[in-house]
Amino acid sequence: MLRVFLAGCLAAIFLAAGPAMAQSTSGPMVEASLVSDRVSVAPGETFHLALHQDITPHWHTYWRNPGDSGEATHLYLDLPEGWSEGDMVWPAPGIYSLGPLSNYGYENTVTLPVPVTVPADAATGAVTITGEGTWLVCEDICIPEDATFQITLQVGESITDADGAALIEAAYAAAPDGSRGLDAGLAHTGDTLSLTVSGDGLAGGPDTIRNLYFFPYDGGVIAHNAPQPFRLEAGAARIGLTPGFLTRNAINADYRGLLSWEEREGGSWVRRVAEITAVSGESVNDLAVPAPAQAGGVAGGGGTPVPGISFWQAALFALVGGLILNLMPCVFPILSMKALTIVQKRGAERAHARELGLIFGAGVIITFLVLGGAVLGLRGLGGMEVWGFQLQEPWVVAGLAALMFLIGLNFLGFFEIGTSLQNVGGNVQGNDRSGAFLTGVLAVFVAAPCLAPVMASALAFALAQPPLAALTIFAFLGVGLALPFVIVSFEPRLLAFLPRPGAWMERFKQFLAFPMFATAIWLVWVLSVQTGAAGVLWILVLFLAISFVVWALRSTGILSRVAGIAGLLLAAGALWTTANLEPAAIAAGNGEYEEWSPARVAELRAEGRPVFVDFTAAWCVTCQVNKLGALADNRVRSAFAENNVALLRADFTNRDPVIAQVLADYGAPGVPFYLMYPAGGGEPDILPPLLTDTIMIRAVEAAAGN
Amino acid sequence: MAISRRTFTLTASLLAATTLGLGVAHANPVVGEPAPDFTATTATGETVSLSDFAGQTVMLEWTNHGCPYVVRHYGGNMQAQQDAAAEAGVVWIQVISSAPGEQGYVSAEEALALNEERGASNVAHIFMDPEGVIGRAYDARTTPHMYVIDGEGTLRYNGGIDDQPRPRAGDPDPIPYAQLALNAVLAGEEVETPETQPYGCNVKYAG
Repeated sequence: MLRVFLAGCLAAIFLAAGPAMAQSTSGPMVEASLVSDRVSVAPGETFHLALHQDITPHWHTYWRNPGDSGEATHLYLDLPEGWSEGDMVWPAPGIYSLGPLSNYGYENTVTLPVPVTVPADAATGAVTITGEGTWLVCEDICIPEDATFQITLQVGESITDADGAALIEAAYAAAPDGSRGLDAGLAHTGDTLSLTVSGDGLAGGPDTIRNLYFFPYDGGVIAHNAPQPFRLEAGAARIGLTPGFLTRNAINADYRGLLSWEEREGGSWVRRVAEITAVSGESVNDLAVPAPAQAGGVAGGGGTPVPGISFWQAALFALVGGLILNLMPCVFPILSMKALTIVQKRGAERAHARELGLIFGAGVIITFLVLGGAVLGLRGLGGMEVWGFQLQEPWVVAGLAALMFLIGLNFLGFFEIGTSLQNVGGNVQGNDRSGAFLTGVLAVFVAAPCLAPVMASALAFALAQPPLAALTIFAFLGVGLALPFVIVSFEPRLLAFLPRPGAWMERFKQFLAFPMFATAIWLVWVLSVQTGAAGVLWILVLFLAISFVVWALRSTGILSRVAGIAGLLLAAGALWTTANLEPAAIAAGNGEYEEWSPARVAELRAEGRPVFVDFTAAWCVTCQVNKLGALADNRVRSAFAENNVALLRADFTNRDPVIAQVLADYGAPGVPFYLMYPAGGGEPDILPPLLTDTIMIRAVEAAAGN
Repeated sequence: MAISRRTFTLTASLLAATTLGLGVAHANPVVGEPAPDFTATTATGETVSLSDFAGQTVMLEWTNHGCPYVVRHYGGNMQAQQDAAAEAGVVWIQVISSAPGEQGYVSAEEALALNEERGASNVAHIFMDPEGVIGRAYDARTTPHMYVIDGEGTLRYNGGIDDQPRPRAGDPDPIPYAQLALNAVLAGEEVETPETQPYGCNVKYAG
């Protein structure tokens, strides 16, 4: 139903866009249209017609070389006498792996332009061009679709069609523009192929270039599903390829293709592509043959798909993710606290409630932006671009635990802040406002560890974006998180659904103390893992000190003030000591698990064993859920044992640049993160952040080759 | 030298067949070398291996009845090729590598009923390969994907059924690569185009 509605909207947009936009035609899975970058063309000029596809999410259409299966998209134009067309321009594709097969194609949207030249003697007036598009669209199953188009253009003056031109320019921007000064050769090295590439385009070398990958224009040049390990130096690269049927015995032609890589630009990685012609039998540099795809996946990232979601989809995911966060256990207590404030504001207080709701929202969004900015800044410094990292700082954990403890005491009625329930909204609006803002700030900090599982895709996208786009994603996360409460504060009718105030409110508030204490206990446990017994000692001293401060300040005498200040000093001292504790050596290898290291992975793989790596952290709630759930499941554990799976655990509770690097290499925004390396070599499988026993057993069996 | 290379390839192929999808990239069967051996359960419950067909020419056809490309060729083209092949004494074998729950997965009875419905009466065997063991050993990637094996067990053709995924009105006739290869083998000639890029739906492997 929604699709029909959207199709209607799209059709309406196309119809409204003017005469140069052909009607859209839809197969079940692709909305296609023929677009032009001109409303009116001048005789003698070259303009573009393009097949534009809106593809159902998770389905893909194919590049000029579809890879192991599939069919390339075609556009057949029926041009007037004397008009001529050039070759289709193909934006760089993504890689889609289905079981042992790899395909090259597009998700979501793609525009495929064809240059069209108008003859110099073309008569002025209207011209109607018809076209037929054919394509295959696949997810798990495949559907061949086709559509016919009609477009009417004026011949006379050259007038740009802004919408069509924008789509076509974007397609050109994503397609190779020449060779970027790269020379290339393709030669046999034993049973494998070596693609050597040299030139200015790769001048940055390994510091600023990663994920090199060669997409040949013809099928049969390489095995598409094979990893592409590479060796890279400034201005030169050598990629190891597995030959296809065209190149197995001899290389009889100069094969063309697209070289794709990611280049660091400022703080982010940007995709680059060049069209190269690999000269048969030649080597354009003397780099050593790269090692076969290595265990750590650090250099062999050829198989890593380019994140395949568009900017606005990522923003929408961020919004939805933010909304979902409202239900997360690590956010709910804080929001309940906020709910309490709003419940208190009824009747005449509505306007004030609205204001508080907005301030709360502003607090959330600003905090997300600040955090996002910090993440981007740290990404520039390297190694720290991982979400949830603020909980790697013991003093942040201790501070949050103390805050939770304090809030719990407040809820139990041990003390009141600023005002009592009876005169809320009287002359203390200032306090309320800053309180609402701080609630927003707090909500974000506590929500951060819950972000990764919900937001993996959008965050991975954000981290690979230019700063402004990344910040927009962060802002949308904030909007999503804040939205429900802003709406409740704004809409009196919704407020009317809230229960009437009464004695229950006090009970409710007291009850909310217990989630707070539970959160504090969890944070103390995190700290105990981070810093060992000393950390537990100092955080309990901190609790003692702050409760003493609160107690002392309940009376107003000079002696109480002095005692309060002494308590504050003690609290500060405890926090400072916590911050300076030596990180505990975390025994990552516990029980059946050994401690992870890239070298250990390589060793175990050399023995031919499948390897499972659990990237985890004490502060990561989802990690604990998986550890106690799917990973502890008896059937999963016996599957591990039966298939001789080596179990490794990488503990990210404290900062660890090696782990951070591996996470970044796989585009993972944080933990939980799970890798299953198959026995006998090949790229590891990335398992979903939330594991089930079925997922695990399937993964184990696939890795063991059953 | 020639013998050792042959033995090596055979060993490698067998190894590939037993280690399934691991190192698939290196498991490509090679035209001109012995075809990967297999032991298959057919839709009629027999257990057969490649050596059972010594002295006979074998055509392997990867199929998935739900795949639109397969449906198009079963509009008559595939049956006609099967009939002609049977006349020439070729053992035509369909292989179904769709995993349970995936498109094209059928029970043995359903597989036999499908052929009856389509009038594909000259299929000698249907190999039930839900684990994808034979598919991965042969590096079968699409439906349809065709292989010709001669009487000595040597792989002679690996690739598409023809060169036109989507014939349009006015296009030249497709080049029926698989049929040309089969005819060449039957006539004792070299196969002119022994390997092509197959087109179609991806084989719906498990995992």
